[in-house]
Amino acid sequence: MGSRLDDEPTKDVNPVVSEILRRAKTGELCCLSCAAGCGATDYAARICPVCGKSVELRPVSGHGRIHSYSVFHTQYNSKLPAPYTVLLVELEEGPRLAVVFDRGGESPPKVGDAVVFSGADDGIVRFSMA
Amino acid sequence: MNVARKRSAAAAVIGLGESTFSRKSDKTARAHAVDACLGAVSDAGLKVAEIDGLLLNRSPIEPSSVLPLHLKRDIGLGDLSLLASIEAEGSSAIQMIQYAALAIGAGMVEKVLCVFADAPVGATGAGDAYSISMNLIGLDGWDERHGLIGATGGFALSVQRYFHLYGADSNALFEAAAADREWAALNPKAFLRKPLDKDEYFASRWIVEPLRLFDCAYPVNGAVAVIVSSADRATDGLNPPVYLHGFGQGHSGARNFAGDEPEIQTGAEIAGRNLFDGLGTTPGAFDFCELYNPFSITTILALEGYGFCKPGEGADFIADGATRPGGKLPANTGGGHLSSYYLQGMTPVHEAIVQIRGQGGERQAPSTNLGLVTGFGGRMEYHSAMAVSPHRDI
Repeated sequence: MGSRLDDEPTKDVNPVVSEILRRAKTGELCCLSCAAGCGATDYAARICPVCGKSVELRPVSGHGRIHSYSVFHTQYNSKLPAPYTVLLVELEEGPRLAVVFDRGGESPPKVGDAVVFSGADDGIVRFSMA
Repeated sequence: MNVARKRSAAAAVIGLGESTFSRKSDKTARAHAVDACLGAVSDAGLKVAEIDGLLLNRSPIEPSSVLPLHLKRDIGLGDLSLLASIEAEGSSAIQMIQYAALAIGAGMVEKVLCVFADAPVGATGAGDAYSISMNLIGLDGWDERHGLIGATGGFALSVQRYFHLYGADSNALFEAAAADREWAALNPKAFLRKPLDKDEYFASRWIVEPLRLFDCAYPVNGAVAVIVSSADRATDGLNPPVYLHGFGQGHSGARNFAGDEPEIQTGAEIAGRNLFDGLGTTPGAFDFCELYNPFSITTILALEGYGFCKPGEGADFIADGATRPGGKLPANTGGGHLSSYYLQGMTPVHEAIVQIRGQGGERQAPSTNLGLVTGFGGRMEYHSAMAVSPHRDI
């Protein structure tokens, strides 16, 4: 196993994911948000949970806090040598997103720590300590 | 029992069958299913021709061809009045029994065979089978891309969140795993029966930190089948009936959004409320419980979610002995998913039937007037529960 996870983002069948990754590579992280103005939704929403209207991508600040995290000790993807840390980040706009911790020598993460979007050059969205 | 609303069960489990449980890749799930189905028919003292309904449940990560409707031919079943595959992940086993009981009550059918079969253990173990995406974030392909792989990854997030909210640590998980192993020691069919030493637990390798090897289910290849009948005909068989007194499903709407806690707030609270309200009772009425527990943390969260203890107190509840042999609420009396065997929703169902029949041998719970059985799918958002008893009237 492993190689099947190494596909480039352009091969994603889901156009929303492709668009989020395309914009993230330019430095702009987006969330789903109500097109009628109700605000940000979770990333699983396909319609606004408040008004039922459509959702669209809107830029977020890139700031958030660690809601939870886990450390993987198996390599599944050549871009993610083990061990690596997955953060479940709660963006300050409200949605939570799974991202990879860009550790850069910092101490281990803790739930509640402030983190910030640090890039997605290789098609993987990474956050580092704020 | 303290059941406010006197009630008489309408349906019962009258047959229990199992295939061999194996850690070798020797048979297909379909072949195991045949063995379990024929075993259940024999156990009930029925002829195959008396079965007029069949419900199938395969592992959610397997294609439908693994357990097709044609299984009916393999078993030699003729004309049927009910036939379907039920797929709601780990909540399916109890859902099958619930839908069988409802169909019997509606006059559709008389004897329904319900079977789960799986063969996840291959030549290199079962790890590959569970390296799936849970799609927790809700964007296709996102979780895998960001290395959030497998059920263990999703449950590891629940553990870390639980630790943060309640100040718990790995000792809580150890207690849950060790309690199951104490029961398994008393179950000749359990796969892991040696007492779980604390040093051994802490030395076991990380699967996804903070979950270690001994926090995870022990997969086997095999199948379990049960036969559901009307309660009126339940005493005709060879074994004591297991009366079905109530069911509750609960499917949580918690989102990955500020204010929600989907890591620890599961469908258990909803399923429990539906079950307990229907029975007119509370968790205190139950003598024992068989909880779906593929990871140590899920036993803790189920005890809290179904209301046996308060949020954050599940680990102490276990550590104090409540659920262990000799405790006030025996739980996972066969060793559960961690220490007996992992056949998804049928592991707790099987053990509940053994207990209600009084066939638990050394592990028989002292009182089994009312038992809770649970199942869940996803990362605990899809729950089903049922109340079982050796008494038709409670």
